[in-house]
Amino acid sequence: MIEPINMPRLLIGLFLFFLGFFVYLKKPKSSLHRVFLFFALTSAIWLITYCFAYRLPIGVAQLLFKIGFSAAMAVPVCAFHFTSCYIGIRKELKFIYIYYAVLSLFVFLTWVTGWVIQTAPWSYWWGYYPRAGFLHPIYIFFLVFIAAHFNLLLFRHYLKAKNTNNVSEENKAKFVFLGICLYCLAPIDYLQNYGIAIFPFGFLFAGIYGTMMAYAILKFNLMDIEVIIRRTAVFASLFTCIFGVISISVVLSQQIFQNLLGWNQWTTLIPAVLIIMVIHDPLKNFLATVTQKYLFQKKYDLSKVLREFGRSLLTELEMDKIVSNTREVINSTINPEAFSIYLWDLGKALYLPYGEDTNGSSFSMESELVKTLHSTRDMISLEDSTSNNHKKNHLDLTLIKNEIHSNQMVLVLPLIHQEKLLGFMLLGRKKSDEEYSNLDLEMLTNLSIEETIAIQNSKSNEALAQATALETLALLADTLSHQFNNRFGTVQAVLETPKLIVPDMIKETENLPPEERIQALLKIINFLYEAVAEGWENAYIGGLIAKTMLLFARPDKVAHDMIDFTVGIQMAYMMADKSKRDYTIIDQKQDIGPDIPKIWSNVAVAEQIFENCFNNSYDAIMKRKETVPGLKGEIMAVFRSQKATNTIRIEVRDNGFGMTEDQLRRLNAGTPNFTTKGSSGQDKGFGAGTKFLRLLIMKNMGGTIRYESKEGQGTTCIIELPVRGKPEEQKKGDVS
Amino acid sequence: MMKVVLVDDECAMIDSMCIFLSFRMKDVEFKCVYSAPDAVAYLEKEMPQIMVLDLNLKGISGLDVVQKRALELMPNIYTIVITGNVKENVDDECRAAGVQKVLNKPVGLEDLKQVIVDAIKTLSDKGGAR
Repeated sequence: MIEPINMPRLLIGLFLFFLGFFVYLKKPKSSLHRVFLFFALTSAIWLITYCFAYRLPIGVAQLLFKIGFSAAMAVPVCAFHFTSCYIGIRKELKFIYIYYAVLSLFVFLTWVTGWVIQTAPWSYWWGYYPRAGFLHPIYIFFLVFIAAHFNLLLFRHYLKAKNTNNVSEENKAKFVFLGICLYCLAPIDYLQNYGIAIFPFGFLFAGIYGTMMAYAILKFNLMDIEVIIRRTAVFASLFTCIFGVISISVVLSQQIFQNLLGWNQWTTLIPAVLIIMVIHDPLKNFLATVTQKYLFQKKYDLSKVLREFGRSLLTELEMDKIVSNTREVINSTINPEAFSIYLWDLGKALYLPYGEDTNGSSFSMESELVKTLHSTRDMISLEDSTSNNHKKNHLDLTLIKNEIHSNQMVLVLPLIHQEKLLGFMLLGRKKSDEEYSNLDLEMLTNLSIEETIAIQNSKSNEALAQATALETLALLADTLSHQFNNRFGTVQAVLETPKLIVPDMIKETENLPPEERIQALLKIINFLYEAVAEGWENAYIGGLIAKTMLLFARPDKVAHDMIDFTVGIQMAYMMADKSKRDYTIIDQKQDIGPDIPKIWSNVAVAEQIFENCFNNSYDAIMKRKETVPGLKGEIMAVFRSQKATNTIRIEVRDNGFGMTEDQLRRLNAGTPNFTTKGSSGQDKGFGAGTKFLRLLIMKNMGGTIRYESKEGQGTTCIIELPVRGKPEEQKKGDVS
Repeated sequence: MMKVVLVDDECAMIDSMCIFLSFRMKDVEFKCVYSAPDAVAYLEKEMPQIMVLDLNLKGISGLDVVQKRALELMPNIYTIVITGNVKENVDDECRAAGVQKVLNKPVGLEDLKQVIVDAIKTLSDKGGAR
């Protein structure tokens, strides 16, 4: 029999029990969710067994107290385990083992001895309660130690989350930390073990903790649990709550009036009904308001969301990231059931969903939706309240509704740039079943404007990159054609000469005296050797030039080999476009250290890396020559093997114009489109060369690049490349 | 003696050409130079009748620098251009610069020899040979 005073304890125990299973079932394979289940179960077992044990016969009570006390002792250890899983600190693993071992010892002693809790319990006004044994204070010390440990870890985690400026993570960390802090007050129930007759109310802190966790799950998706609450579900819950309050009120009032005034049970119903009538409506309204405010409306700060979104798109030129950022913002604020961005595909002449399977869903210029977006240049909503506005604007939405409903979407936002419909965003209903609020629509309108600008920037950048690539390709084709002609011309000349004249030369020796003839023949042989050697050298260089073309082939087709990276220096000077840069006026110096290892790459990459470095150096030297006409330009390429880090260090130094501190900082930070050259005129630049260089070194070679520079003195480009073997050898290295 | 100068920064190629031409045309003096400044210096000193010229000499235009100076010194010089340039208007540019013959790389040695023989004949017909 459970007395009314113990009912809250039981309800909180059941609440924690169900919360634990709810979290566990969301992700059964996750250790975090599993540990939370243990944590919630130990709490629930403690609460439920105690509330039954108070009034049961002493023998049964003793058994239940042992079960409950063991569970209560496990709570802080489970809390620590949960904390380390939540924060993800692997180095705390050893503490988990130690704490569980100590806990096992205490549980063992609880069951086989009376050292932790004695066999004979206290008898208080609310019922029996365990009596502390001589080891109980030691357990309390153990408890305080663990509590201090996990609170410290959680506090540190909270401070770290706060510094990341991620509001959601900060809130999660705050709730977990505060929740556990408050739960740490629950051991107040150990006072009764020492004969202090205060009703044990520690369960309230367990309840507060459970409520905070449930709230954090609903509000901030704690432990990555997304709970979609539909309005119908909430109204059903509200009804259940009110019904529960009414039932408890009736039972309590009946007991009070029966006991105090001696009324019979029917008469006692009258004041109960009166109370119900008075509290029913205010209670319902209060709960509805609270639920609406704290659960449904994930209130967001409009200006903050847009500011952060705008900032994230400011430097973003990759379409994939623009779309994923948009998707993230919309999901975290509106949370619609479906979301798609349709963009104009010039090749197919259709609006196609970006980054998704088209599944046949596309919109042509003739579709009613596109025509309407073109004419209205405004959002289209199919929700009842807002679609009334379209009636006012005399828009026939029937055809559009058919098109949009086939996609289960209810809101369309155009992405218009200078009269052109770049695309549009389609949003489904909100998962919460709410209609789109004015705040939502305002946010989406502004967001679509920022999105349009970002998409346009991306397209412009793409067009620029294509134009630059085509120009590079044209220049390369010109240079390659010239180089091939020279190589083959030389090969042909040096081999054709002996082919044509050697027979005549030999014939001329026939009339010579034997000794002179031998000398003449030796000269011919030497001549032949030189011709063959010259021919071979030119053929070899021709081969290297051909490999350079592979840079423009598909990456998976590029021939890689173990190459001597220093070959890139000569290749780069050879491949330089002479009409743009005459390297003969520059002192080309090299300092190649001993034992430079070969690395897995291709000669085209080596050539391109040096060509880009040299081009930058050349331009910087030419710029400085404008102010120092007599300057002798110098480019020094330095190679060093760094065995300690298993890398090759390459430095390309010049005595050019150098950079300001701000320019240097921006260049080292990899600022997109950063260039030290002008934006117009002959020396215009787009930063494409430095960007390409970074890509080659970091993505292709897995290396690093940085610059050192002093304005007016020169710049040093420092490249460090890892010494990599063939891929199969790399794998072997990884395994070992 | 007829003098022919070959101007190209591809040393190995014109060296081979020189060897071949010298072997086959023993009554002509052939000289190789490998850069525009050296070519100008040779022209000023030796005044050759025929010049075999590459268009691009390490970033310096053969036409603008060498051919221009050659015409100033010897208006009747016979210039043969060897080019690897694939631009459409190269021929027109060369003709406008007073070039008599344009050959595309790679050039066969016998072909080159024949062009030089023709050049000598042309010059002889004009009475320009010394």
